[in-house]
Amino acid sequence: MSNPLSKKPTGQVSGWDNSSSNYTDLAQTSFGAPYGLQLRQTILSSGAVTIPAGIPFVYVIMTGGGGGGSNSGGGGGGVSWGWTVPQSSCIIGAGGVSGSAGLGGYTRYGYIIAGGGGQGSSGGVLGGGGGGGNSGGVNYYGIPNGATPAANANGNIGAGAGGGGSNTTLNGTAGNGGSGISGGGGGASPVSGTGTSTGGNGGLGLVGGGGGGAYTNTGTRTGGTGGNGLGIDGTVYTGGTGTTGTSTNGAGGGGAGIAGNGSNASGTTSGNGGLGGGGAGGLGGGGTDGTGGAGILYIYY
Amino acid sequence: MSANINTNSSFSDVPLGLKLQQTKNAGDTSVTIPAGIKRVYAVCIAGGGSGGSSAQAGGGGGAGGFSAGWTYATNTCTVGSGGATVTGGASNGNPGGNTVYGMIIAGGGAAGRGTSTAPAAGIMGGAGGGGSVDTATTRAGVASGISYTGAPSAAAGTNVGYGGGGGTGNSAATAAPGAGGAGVSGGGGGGANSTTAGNAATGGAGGQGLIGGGGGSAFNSGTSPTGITTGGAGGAGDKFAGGTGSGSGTNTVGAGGGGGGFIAAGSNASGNTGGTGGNGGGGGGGANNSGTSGAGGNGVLYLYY
Repeated sequence: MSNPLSKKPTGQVSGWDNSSSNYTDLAQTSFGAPYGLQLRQTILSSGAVTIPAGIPFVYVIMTGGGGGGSNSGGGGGGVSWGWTVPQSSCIIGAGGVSGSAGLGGYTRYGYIIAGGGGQGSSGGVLGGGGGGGNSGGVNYYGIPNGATPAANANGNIGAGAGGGGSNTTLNGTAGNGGSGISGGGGGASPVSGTGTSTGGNGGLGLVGGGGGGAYTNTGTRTGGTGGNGLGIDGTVYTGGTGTTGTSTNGAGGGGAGIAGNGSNASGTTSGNGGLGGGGAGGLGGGGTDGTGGAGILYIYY
Repeated sequence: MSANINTNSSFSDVPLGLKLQQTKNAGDTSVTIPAGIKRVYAVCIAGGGSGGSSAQAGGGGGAGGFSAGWTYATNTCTVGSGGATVTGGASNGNPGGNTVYGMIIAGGGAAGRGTSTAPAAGIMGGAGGGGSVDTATTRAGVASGISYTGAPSAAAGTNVGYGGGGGTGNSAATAAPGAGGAGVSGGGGGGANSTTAGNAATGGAGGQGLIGGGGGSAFNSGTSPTGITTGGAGGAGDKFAGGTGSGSGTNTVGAGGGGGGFIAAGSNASGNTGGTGGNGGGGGGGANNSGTSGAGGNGVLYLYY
């Protein structure tokens, strides 16, 4: 198929007064792209972008970085899409890590921007899912976020879904992350005493949230599973599994990104988020936090 | 005859096949669209905010908002100017002007701060202005505006958003002001005041973005000060760099650089005078020691059809 952009229209191509002689029927080439466009570039790191001369607009799909792990799961990175004027550089958000830098980084190309997923102590930004126990972010188009959950409650749906509420009851289960365009992180389960403790699963979306961790109790600890994601070609990416053990393990799996599976938890170390913004899982007792999946940028023209 | 919306591109909203046909600059008010063109794709960039002027350290101005989309064709437009300079200390800057064509609108960047009364937040995607230090008091910056697409406002501080938040001013033994928040339009940097005579002070950098925010300014309020005061750099735009802050002296320098615009680089600061924001919405630099702030960069309107 020839490049539709190479055609020289004789008048306005898109408009209320469009002549049928000025357009070419176009085949769908991608799950997420407008008709006639082809995926030309996939960009994984910040830096230079080269767009051929004569292309006045490009269409982009992007994700921010996934939230880092905490005791609860990290939220999936925000997803944004749309037309923008081409630029010669881009910013790709890094996945969040443990601690104060847990919020995923933002991704921007031209005037399209997607925020990072939240960590356990923070909400998502610009479409990012909230970390467990926190709200998601309103997205680029103003689509509302999922609000902060109550204890033990599942996260609320939204463009950036809310994280699941923490478990406060021995033998109970933390709330699952909310589902949305970007899933929320699963809630943590920090209960003490003799009995079971179960972290919440990460929320589903184009980008999945990480599973929550379980710890402190004497008895069975079960980390939550990371939420699934959905790629631009329709591929379903899967979240990683959590670990289970008696008075040990209990780490959550990483959420899937828009371009890769989340990793499984191992022992008390939580799973990493998948490529394209997956949220990291929450750690088990005394373990190590996973890292959120890095953002990604797709450019069509 | 029936039409198939899946194969007929006239039903889509894609800006394919378009060419840049007209560029309108600040102060232009009329547009002539050829007969037969019922709608056009407009890119609106608003004016950047000017920096604030304080007897100590004024904040940088926020970058102008950026909006784009289809609109019906009209014969009028508004293209915003950059916020005008202020001088003499104790003055907030001025917000940038809005740019409007048909149903597409971009809001001006917020003014940089220089007084106890906060300037208005950015509007319609305009970034927040940086906070200041005046009368030995730390002042917060201001928030950005909700964008044309509905992306949320970023709160005051170094917060990412469609329009970034304005950085916080800081007064301390060694000042540590906030940079402007990053985004499509970068926020202004906060002013800095070091209270220990020998300590350096550096204003907060303007936020980077497609359009950069202005840098905050710097001051030393110690007795017989010797610390170097350096203005914050203007935020880098994707295409053009921000200007440098002025330095290599104490209080006679320390103004912030202008933010990079969509069309041109931000200007460097000089002495106590902030750099002008780059053409195409860059934020102006803040002024220290009662100097003159940098003006915001003018807005622009591009029409495609």
